[in-house]
Amino acid sequence: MLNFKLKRIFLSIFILVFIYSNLFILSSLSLQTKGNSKFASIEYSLKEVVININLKFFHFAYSLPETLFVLFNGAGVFDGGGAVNSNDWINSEYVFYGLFSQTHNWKQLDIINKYFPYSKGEQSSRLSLPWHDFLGNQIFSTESQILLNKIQAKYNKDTPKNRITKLALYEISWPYSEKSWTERRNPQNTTYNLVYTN
Amino acid sequence: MRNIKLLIVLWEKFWFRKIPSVNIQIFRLLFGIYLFIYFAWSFPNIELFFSNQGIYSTLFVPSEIAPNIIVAWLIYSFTLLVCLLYAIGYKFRIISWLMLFLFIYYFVLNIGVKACTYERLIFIFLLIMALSSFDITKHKPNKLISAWSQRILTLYISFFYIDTGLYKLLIPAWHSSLVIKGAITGIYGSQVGYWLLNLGLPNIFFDISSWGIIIFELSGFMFFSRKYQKLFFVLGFFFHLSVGILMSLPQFMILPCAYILFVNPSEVKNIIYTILQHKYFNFQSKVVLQIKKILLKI
Repeated sequence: MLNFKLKRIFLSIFILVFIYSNLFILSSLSLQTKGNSKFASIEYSLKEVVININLKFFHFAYSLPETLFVLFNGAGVFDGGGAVNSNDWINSEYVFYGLFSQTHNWKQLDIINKYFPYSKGEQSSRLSLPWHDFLGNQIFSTESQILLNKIQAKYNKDTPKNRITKLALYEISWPYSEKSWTERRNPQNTTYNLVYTN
Repeated sequence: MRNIKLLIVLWEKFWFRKIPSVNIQIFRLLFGIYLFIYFAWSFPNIELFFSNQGIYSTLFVPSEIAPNIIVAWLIYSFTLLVCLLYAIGYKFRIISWLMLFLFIYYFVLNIGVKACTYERLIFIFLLIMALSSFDITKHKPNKLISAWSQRILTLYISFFYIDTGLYKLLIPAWHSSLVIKGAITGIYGSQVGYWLLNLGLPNIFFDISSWGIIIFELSGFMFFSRKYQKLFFVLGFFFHLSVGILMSLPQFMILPCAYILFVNPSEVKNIIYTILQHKYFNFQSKVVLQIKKILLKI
């Protein structure tokens, strides 16, 4: 009987947390997309997300632990990056460059599809380490080093005669086109940005 | 005091009343098959994705967690087996928790790094199913279970659609064809997306599609409407299918797998009996008889 009651209490708390988290996300969407206003604001921290309501005679705040916020917040995808037309868009991809021990030259490595056999979107998402980035600079930096070291070790194992001593991840960008992914990609309008190196 | 007691009674009645288990068991079957396909996708790359000889990014756990190739293969094979056992509901109290832990293992090992929404959906579905496994015990005809798991899953799916719809409604770029065109030809886009965009269809086609998606998602609670739910199931199925084809994200088919939870249990039973009476189920093969046995137990 006690076991039965405890189970009911536990499940009831679980249900309440579940509903509250969903309602919190629903109420935060306007602030997430439009930003803070005179009447309401949202504050993010690694611990929790807080919504402050500031009405004339009525002030209150409610919060949700960050873990639950991330878990339930499924809405924020494909927002067009705030663009008003597609001319503002860019296409981008990641490429690896390796410093070869014999020649001491940096050279692009054709390994991205071999070592990351995922769709373009997933490749990009994985290499940008969004979770680690969210958790802070230190964690992002450590994980990016670990990832590059793993790639370097695997590359050197796969091609022992052509070893590399350093590895760098670059993001290359060029203007978007409706015709095809690489239609407007040429040396004149392609930019290279170093993302991380070991 | 009386009001509190009444509230407790109403709470009990809404969340913990007994309902037929048929919907959740069909969902379990579909979800198990979905999980099997989800994990089977990695089959050609086990060494690369999940072993210490591969390239992976761990989350919340040390980088050295990945096992050697043989152990990685053993865990992976075991995971596929657990997915199948999950689907058929074998020893569900144990298997449902095992499936949850295996998913968490892969999530922290190399899946979670990309922070995708559908993996959060999988986690929440697995967690609720594991918690409800105490209700879904032995297969018995017309078995009744506590309503809470089915109610919370359906409520969550409705909230999920409304959240995504409201988000899109609040983003001005979604009010025209802009985002939809960008999404099918962007980083997640596919060749089919480019093909569709270069067909020369008028802009209004993409404008209508964009508003259609917003209206569909904002109508998340229409899945509960007995009158319109079938229309919404069809719309949802084709919406997620098009996301799978145009944006290379078939993983969101997890949501259509869960539509069965919204259907009236007696209707689900009628569907099962209609399927079983179909001519394909009429010959006396051992496999077919076994499938019939499992389905009739539901």
